[in-house]
Amino acid sequence: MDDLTIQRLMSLSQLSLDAEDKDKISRDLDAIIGFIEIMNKVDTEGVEPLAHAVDLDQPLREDRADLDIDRGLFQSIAPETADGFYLVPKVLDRR
Amino acid sequence: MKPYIGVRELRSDLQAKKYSAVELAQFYLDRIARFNDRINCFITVDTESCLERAAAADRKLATSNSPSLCGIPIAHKDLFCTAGVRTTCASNMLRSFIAPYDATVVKRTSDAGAVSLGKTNMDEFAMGSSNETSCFGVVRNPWNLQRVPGGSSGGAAASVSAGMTPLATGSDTGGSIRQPASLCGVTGLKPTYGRVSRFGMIAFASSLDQGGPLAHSAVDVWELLTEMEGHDPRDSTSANIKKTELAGFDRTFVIGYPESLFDGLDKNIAACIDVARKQFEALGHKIEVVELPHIDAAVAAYYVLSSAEASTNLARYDGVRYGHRTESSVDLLDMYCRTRTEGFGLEVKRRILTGTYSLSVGYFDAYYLKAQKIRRLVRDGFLEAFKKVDLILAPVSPTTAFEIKSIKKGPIEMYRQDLYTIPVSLAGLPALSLPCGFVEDLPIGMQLIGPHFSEGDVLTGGIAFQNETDWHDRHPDLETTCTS
Amino acid sequence: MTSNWEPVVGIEVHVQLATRSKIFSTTSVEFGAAPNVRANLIDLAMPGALPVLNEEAVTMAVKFGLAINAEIAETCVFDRKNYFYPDLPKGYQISQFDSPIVGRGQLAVLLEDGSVREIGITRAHLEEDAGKSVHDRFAESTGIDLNRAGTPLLEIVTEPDMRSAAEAAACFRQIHSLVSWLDICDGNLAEGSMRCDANVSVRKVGDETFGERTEIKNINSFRFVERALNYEIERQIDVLERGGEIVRETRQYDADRDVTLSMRSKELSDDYRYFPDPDLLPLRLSSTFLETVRSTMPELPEQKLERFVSDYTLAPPVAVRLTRDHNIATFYESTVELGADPQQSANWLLGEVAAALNREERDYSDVPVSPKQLADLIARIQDKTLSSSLAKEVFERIWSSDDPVDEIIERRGLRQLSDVEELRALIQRIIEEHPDQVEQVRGGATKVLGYLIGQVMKASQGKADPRQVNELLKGMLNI
Repeated sequence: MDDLTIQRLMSLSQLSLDAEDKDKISRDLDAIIGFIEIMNKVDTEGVEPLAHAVDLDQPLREDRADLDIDRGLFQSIAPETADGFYLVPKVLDRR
Repeated sequence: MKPYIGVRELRSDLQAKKYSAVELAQFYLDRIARFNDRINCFITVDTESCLERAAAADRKLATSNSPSLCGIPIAHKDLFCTAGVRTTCASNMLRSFIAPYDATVVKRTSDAGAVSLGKTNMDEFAMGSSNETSCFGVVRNPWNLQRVPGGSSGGAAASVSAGMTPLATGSDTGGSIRQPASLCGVTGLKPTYGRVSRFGMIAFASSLDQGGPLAHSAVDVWELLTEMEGHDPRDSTSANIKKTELAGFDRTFVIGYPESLFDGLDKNIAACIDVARKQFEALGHKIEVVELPHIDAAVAAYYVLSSAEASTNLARYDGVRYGHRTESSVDLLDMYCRTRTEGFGLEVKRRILTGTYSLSVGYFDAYYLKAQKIRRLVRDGFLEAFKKVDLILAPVSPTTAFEIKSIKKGPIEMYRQDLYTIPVSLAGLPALSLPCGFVEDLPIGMQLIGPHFSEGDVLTGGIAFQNETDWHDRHPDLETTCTS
Repeated sequence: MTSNWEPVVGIEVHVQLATRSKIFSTTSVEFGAAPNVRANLIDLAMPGALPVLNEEAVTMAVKFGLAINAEIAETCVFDRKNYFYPDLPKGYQISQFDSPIVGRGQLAVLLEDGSVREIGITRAHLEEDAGKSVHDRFAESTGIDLNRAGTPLLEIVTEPDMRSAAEAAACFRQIHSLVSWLDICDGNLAEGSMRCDANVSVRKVGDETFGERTEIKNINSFRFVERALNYEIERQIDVLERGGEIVRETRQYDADRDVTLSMRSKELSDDYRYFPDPDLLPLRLSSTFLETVRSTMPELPEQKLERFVSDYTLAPPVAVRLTRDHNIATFYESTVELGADPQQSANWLLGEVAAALNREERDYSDVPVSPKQLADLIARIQDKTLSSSLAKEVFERIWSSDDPVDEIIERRGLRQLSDVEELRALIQRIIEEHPDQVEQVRGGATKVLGYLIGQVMKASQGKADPRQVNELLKGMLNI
C-alpha cells in the first residue's frame, strides 16, 4: 500500500500516525488486504448482497415529541461548552 | 458461602434468608478485592452503589413477589452504558466517560433485581480475541495467569471463571462471548441477532453485535438471557419475538457435525469434541454430517464488513460532545486528528483504516459488496444445513488459551482465532459455547449452533449435556494460581 | 452578445418536514429554542444510541411522491454519508443514496407569464438535517448547536429541465406551494424550512450536450435563486467567451454583494463512503400503507382547478390563480361555501384582497379578513345594501376589525340610500338650490347633469346609488 493511499485513509479517518506506527500499520494493511483477497475465490455471480442476516423490516415510530431534555446532564460530560453551545476550535463555515 | 454457585441455588438461599443480598454482594466484592489485581478482569468496581442495590434487593426479597434475579450479583461488560458509573470500552477515548443513561440490557437486568458489581475488562471497543488491546491492560486467564482469557469479553469470562460473579453480560460480534468462554471454561451464549437490544451497547459492528450472557452453566445462561432479551422499540434491529423457553428434556435432536471443520483442528481439541459427540449420541440424539461452505472466505468477509461498520461507528468520537479531547490544538482538524490519534489504540486504528479503505471510492464493490455477497452464501449454507438438522456441533476456538503476547506475527494470525465463530456471526445465528474438556490443564469449549431464534433448543441441548458431564463444574484454584 | 447561449438549470430543494419529532429520535423539532435543549442522546450521537424511523416523515415523503405521480419505492434503504464536521454529531449523515423513497415524477410549474411547464423530478429522498455552527459569537471558538440535528428533510431533485433563472425560481416557488399545500412543510423560508441548491451550466443554443456545471448551495429565497442564477449564468458565459473553462465546483451566493463565490475547501475530502446504515433495516412500504396515505391526501391543485372551472364556471386563468396556493384556494372555497357568488368572490380575492396583502407584504396564509366577512360583504353588494364605493369602505373596516359586516354597516350608517321618497326630497332640494345648472341641463348640457348628480351624492354622504339618482333626476327634470 503506497504512502499516498495511507495518507488519504488517515485524512478520511482523521487519524495521524507517527512514522513507526505508519510503517507498521501499512504492513498490516497489506497483510489484511492480501488476506481478504481470499474472497475472490468465491464465485458470487448473481448473488445479492446481504446487509443483515435476519430478515426483519424497519419498524416505524409514532411521531410523538419529547421536550424533556436535560442539557445540563448531557453537557456535564462535554470537553468544552459555553452558554449552552458545544465549543470547538474556530472554523470557517464551508456551507 | 462459596464462589461457584448457580442461580437457582442463589435464589432459594436468598429467599430462605440463608444469607442476605448484601452479604452475597460483599462476598463477591471481597473476592474481587482479593484477586482482581492479578486477574484484572474488572475495570471499575462500584462498591458503594453495589451495596445500596443489594440492600434494595433485600427489601424486595422481604416482599412476596421479588423479581427473578433479585439480589443476584452480575458484572457488565464495559461497553454497556451505565448511568452514573463510567463506561470506557477499555479505550483511552472513553477512559472517564460517564454515560447519561442505562443500556436496555443494564436496565432490564437491574429491573429483574440483579445487583451490578462493576464493569468488566475487554478488548478496546471489542476489537480483539485476547483482551490484549485494552487500555487498562490484559486480563489474565484464571486457569493460568500467563495466558490470555480470550476476547473481546475476556473480563466477563474471566470474572465468571474466577468466581468473582455468578453472572456476566458480554457482547459477541465475531466470537467475543464464545471464544473467551471456551478459553476460560465457562458457558456463554451469543443470541440470534435481534434477540437482545443493542440500545446503549456501544457499537463495534452494528449488523453483527449482539449482547449475551455468560455464567457457570447453560441453565444459568438461560436464566440471565430471559432477563436480557425481548423487543426494544429503541433498537430498530430488535426482533419482536417471545421469551426463550426451554424444550422438554425428552426431546431428541438431529445434530449436524460439520466434519470438514475438524480437519485442521488441534487433535486434542478435536478429541474432546468427539467425546462430546458420543455423549450426545448416548443421550439419544442423532448425529448427521453436514457441510458448511466458504468458511475461510467468511473470515475475510467478516473483517471487511465489521471494519467498515466500525470505521463509521467510531467517527462520533471527535472530542466535541464527550470523551477524550486533546490538550491543545491549532485548529479544528488538528483537534480531531490529535484527539482520535491519542484516544484510539493501534488495533482500533488498524480496523478504522481497513474499514475506510473498503468503503472508499473504487474499492467498495471489490471489498464491501463482495463481502456482503459472501455473507449471503454463508448464511444460506447454514439455512440449508438446518433443513436437515436441528443443531450443529462445532469447535469454538482452534487452540486453548495461548500465552500473553505470543501472537506477534500480525493481525491475521489473531483474526484466525475466530475461524469457527465468525461464520455463525455472519449468519446471525444463536450459538452456545460450553466447556467440553481440558487440554494440558486448560479448558476448551464447543459450540452448539441453532437456526434463528432457536435459543430454546440450543440451551436445552446444552443443559442436557451438562446434566451428564461436569466440565462446567471444574474451576481454577485461585489460591494457587494467584499466589504462586 | 449573450443571446446565443442557453442556460441549463436543475435544482435540489431541501424541505424540512413538518413532523412533531425528529426523523430518528423523539426530540421535538420546535424552532427557536435555546441552544442544545432540543438534542437528546440520539441527536448528540452518544455512544450506544440508535436511530428509529419516524412514521410521519415517511408518510409525508409518500404524500409528496403521490402528488407528483412518482413511483414510490416498495423497498428503500437508508445509507450513511460519512464526513467529519462538528455540527454532524455521528460523523455521518443518515440519507438515502441509491434507493430513494420517491422515484421519478412530474411537476407542473406555473411561470410568470401564466403558462405552465412540466418539470421532471428525478427523485426525492429522506435524510436528517445537521446542526448549526455559530462562528461569530465566541472569540476563539465556534459554537455548536444541535437543535436542528436530526430534523427530517425531504431532498427533492429535479431534472436539468429549466432554461432560465426565472424558470428555476418558479420551480422552487412551485415546490414551496406544493409542500405547503400538502401540509408537509411550514414553508417558512426565513427560518430555513426550505433551502435550494442550483446546478447550472450554459451551452450554445442547439448543442445536444450539457456544459460543465457549478452548484450554488443553500439559497433561501425565491428572489435570491433568480439573482444568484442570473449572476452565475452571466459569469459562466463571460468565462467561456474569454476562452476560459468552467470548473466543476460548489459556490455560495452572497446576497449583499449579489455575486456567487467559490467555496472549495481542500482539507475536507469528498469521498463520502456511502453504505447502508446497519442500525436501520430496509424500509418496506406495504400497499396498505400506501392506500392509507392516499386516502388522507388533500385534493391536489390540478384537481381543484378542474373543479373550480366546472362547478363555479370560472375562467381557467382565474381558476389557476385561485389554486396556485393552498391558502387562497381554501379561503376561496370557504367564502363560496358561505353562499357568496363564485365570480364575485374570485374578483374580490384576486382584486381588493390581493392588493391589500401586497401593500402590507403579507400572503394568503395571513388574511386579516375572514371568509364569513367577505361573503357577507359580497351579499350586501348583491342585495344593493352597499354600493361599490361603500363596499370598499366596509372592506377597509373589516380589514382592521373582526366586527361582522352588518354591524359595521348599521353602526356607521353606511346603508345605501334607496328609499325613493327620501331620495326624491333630496333631489328636489338640489334642483331648487341650483336653478342655473338646471336651466343648462334642460338646454341640453349633459355634462352639467353629472354635476347635479355629484351634488346629490355629496348631500347623501355617498349613500345614494348614482344610477338611481341619475334616473330619478332625469324623470324629475322631464328630460
